[in-house]
Amino acid sequence: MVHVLLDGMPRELATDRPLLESLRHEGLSIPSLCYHPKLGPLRTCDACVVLVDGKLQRSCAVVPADGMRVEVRPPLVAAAQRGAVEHALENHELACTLCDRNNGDCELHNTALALGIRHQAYRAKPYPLDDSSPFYVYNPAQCIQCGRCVEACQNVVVNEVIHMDWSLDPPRVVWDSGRSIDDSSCVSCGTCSTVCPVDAMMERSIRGRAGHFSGISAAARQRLVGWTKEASPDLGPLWLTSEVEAAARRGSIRRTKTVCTFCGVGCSFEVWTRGREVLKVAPRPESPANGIATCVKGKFGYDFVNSPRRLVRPLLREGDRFREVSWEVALAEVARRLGEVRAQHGPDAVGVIATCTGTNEEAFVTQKFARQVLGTHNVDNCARYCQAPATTGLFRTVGVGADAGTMADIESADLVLTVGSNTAEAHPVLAGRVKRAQKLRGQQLIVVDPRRHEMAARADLFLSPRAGTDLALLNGVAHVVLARGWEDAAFIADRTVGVDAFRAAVASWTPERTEAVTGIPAADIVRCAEILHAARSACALWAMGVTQHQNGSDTSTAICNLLLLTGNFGRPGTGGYPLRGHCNVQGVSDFGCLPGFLPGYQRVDDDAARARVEAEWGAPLPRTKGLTSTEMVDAILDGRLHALYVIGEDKLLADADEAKVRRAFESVDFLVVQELFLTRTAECADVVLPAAASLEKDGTFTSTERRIQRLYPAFPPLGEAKSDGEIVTAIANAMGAGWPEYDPGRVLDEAARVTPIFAGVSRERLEGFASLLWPVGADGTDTPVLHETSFAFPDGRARFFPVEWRPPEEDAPEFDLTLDNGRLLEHFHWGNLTYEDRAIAHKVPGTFVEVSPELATERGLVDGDSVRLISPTGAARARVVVTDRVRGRTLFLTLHDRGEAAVNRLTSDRRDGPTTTPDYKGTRVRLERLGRAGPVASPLPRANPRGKPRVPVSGADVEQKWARPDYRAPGA
Amino acid sequence: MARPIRSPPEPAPPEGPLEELRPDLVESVESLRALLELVRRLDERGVLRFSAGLLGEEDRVVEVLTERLPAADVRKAVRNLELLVRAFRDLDPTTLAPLAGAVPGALDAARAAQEDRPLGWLDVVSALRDPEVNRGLRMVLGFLRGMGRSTSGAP
Repeated sequence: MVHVLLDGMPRELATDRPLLESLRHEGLSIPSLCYHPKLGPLRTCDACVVLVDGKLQRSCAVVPADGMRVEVRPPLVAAAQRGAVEHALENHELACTLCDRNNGDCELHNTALALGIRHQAYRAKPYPLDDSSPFYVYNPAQCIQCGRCVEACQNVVVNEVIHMDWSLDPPRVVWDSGRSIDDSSCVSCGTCSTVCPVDAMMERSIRGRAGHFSGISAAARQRLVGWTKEASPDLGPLWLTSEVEAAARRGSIRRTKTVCTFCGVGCSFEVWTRGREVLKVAPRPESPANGIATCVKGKFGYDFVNSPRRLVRPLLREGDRFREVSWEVALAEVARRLGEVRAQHGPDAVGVIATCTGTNEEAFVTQKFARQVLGTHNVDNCARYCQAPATTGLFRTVGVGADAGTMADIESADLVLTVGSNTAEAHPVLAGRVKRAQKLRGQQLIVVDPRRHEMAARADLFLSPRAGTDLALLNGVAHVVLARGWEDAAFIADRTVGVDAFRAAVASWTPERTEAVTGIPAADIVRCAEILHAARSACALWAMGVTQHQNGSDTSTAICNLLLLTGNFGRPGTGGYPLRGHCNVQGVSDFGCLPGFLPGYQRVDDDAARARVEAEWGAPLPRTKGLTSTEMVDAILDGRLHALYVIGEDKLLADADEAKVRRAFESVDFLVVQELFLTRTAECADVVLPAAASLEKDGTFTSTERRIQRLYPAFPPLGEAKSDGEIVTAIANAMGAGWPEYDPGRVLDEAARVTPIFAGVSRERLEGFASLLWPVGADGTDTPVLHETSFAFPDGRARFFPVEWRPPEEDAPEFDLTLDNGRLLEHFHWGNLTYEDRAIAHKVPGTFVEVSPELATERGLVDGDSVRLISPTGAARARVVVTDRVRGRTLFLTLHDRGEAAVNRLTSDRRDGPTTTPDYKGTRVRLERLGRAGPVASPLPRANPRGKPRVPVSGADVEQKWARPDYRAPGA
Repeated sequence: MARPIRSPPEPAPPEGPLEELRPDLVESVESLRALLELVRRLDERGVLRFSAGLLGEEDRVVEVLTERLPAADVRKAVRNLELLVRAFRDLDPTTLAPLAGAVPGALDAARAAQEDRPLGWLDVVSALRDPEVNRGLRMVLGFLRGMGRSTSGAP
């Protein structure tokens, strides 16, 4: 705090925020248009000027200092503020009653009204509306040139697409070097439309829909505005009618806080709806994980919720047809068949797959159903396909299988090391924070990946080891650290055990040997160790590129070993971060949908934990662990598992070796599938139960940060669909469980009672945008950074866990290409949700296989060619995109296909030992060119942003505005 | 259990309250169509939403109006409205009817009588002999007398 004189009165002001915010905190009304708490001072609007030590200064850009004299009362201050807002009004024609932004939150409207402005001098602009994008529009005629959108694009999400061209008259926002929005490098994250203070940058979904009169044609609008101006140049009537109209809107537009349904970053926002219509997604500055940022899916990808293809009634198989039936009939059938299997073959003859897109509460009742009602630990979730090996690596070394800290830690680290993560496409909002730290603060970035994706292109050091050799690389870097004495000796002595065994294990991994195995030059391996040594804090991020290998658990362990060696655990800005890929894959595991763990990672052979749960549920639990999701397929085929209940998982497409899973589904006695759509898995079911989407649900999700967040229902489920929690409860009761009606609040309380890490978790502590990071003490204290005082072992010390690299099991030499595979930014998984979105499909209509320029030359391939890929497991057909994102003999197949290009037609059933996670990324194939019929076009349409040059600038660049001859300084 | 099914599901037989309503619906199908058409247009034009919005946010609308309109103007307007309403209330329709009925004819005659030539004293005297003018003038004088009586003592 500092002491200032505010209009002659002594005041204490904080120094951790701009003067503007301090003055508002003092109850003063200071106008502003360009200032946004998540963007900082842009200094473009001049509306917030006050007298500081006798001079007019923008209060957004002043930090209070001791002895400062601040004056807001003098008439010249009010005149300067008013002049700035009137100047903004020269650029924006007020027609508020007809405007989609008239929802009580238009900052220009509110500011001008508060200042009592009654006249405007609008000057028409020569630029047309750009409505080329299916996601958002830019209307230069209404743009007040505040630069917020530019700052967000350049320095928050760091997609570096738009800039303010101050040399134009009048200035405007420009995409790339002057392309239309749809034809630009824009990745459609929508953050620009989120931060626009007016209606210049606006989501298409709300355009013409928010207001009662905003849907009128442009011509009618023009006439109405003209008449109104002629009738009365005074803005008084406009303010009155628009305020009344805005108030009426509040009765028909609902704003509901929710959490994104796609990846695991945990973006939260308000979703604006009218009835079932989604008008827009509006992140809030208080959204803990994302602030104002979103990606294209989270901001725009909700068409699926109202798709005519949604399941709205239960379906029952009758011969070769499904018949719609009532819930009573469907539930009775499920209860009868599951009961019969259990009676005939025992409880372990049934398996349950929980959904990682359901809520924590739903996960809790799902595992309770398996354990208490069926009497089996055969319950698992899709973490089996992705992050189970990461959890193993963390359990072995630090004792907690989750991210060590938060996104704030990742952003504040000196160094970020990513291994096997296409962060900018799979976790785009998190990638934005890394890109921002690198651009604004010089954070170092090392990327280890086979592909030269966006993060690799941005990296300070990009290493591309041979497939399956990441572990060797990590051991090699550890070797250099130890050889040069760069290890954190104090940390190792105070907080770890087992360093000697580790030292011995990596002794042979000299840079030369590492180079021979990985193909990475020895100098780069040393350079990697140097950067790691120089960084005062480092975070390691990893994803499927590590875990989906035969040595996924061991490679995850090697990452943790390296972090321990350099003292990078247990402090802010450090730690290991497996990046979770689904909105609640963290939570569904945390809440016990794992065959070896009760809720909160309490082992099923932990007698005390089991006793606690048995007492709560009044049922004995088995002591031995159940089957994993992948083992359930084996168990069906060898006759041990007879019934499978799959909730929200397209298991047929998600498991490796699709043909094998298909055989299993054809031979299982009873398959019940709970879904939004008739997925490939649901097509195989005996009973299909229509489930609710996240926007229709009440409950909580846990993001990759361990952050528990609340979601509220925006509208009821479509048709007769029900939430997973209601359905599981109904099935349990149909089997005689006698549970009370499903109530997420009561379930959360029960979970908190039986799970020590959730002791203090309650709905009251999670209201609105509030969140908790587990473990949460009984008093509600949460834990943003893990391991600060001790590691989760009896002696409180972390473990070095030596791991040895072994060559991966190889296929026959005829399979001469490595098939990398993964996500694209725009789509999610098999596309069951995202292909329902016409705008997304416009950008990426289908899947494709990336081929390197070298290989394309060798095989005579061009963009659009059809090729057949053949692996030892099966064959797939896809179209070619030639790109230098891949190199040499590595191909990349996106995983967003349900038909001939489905990647798991090719992947093998080889698995990571400790977790049984499939070796999806270790697939080898050969390639056959299929005939080319006439000229072919790329499977990526012109509207796709890939490969288009971006235009990085430093931000809104207000200095260029000040240099314009027509610029009038505040008060001038 | 078996092979995947891709064909669309067979719909369930209808049941429930909608079925009970069916005979009524069938009988009124034309009226319902007309009603739905009206509702659809009202919705398309935003009338339904706007009305629902106003009703749903009544308190807020009143708040905005009371906040934005100058209090003195509102008081004046309300008072004038009240006086006008009272005056209309006290009029006897049987008295008003012949008078109001006479207005259109009077207006037509007025339009017909429009001339550019200035009116002289002789014209006025000769007009007084016209029985229709005479009757009209009597009524006007009577109105003025009544007006004077009602306002005697008023400022």
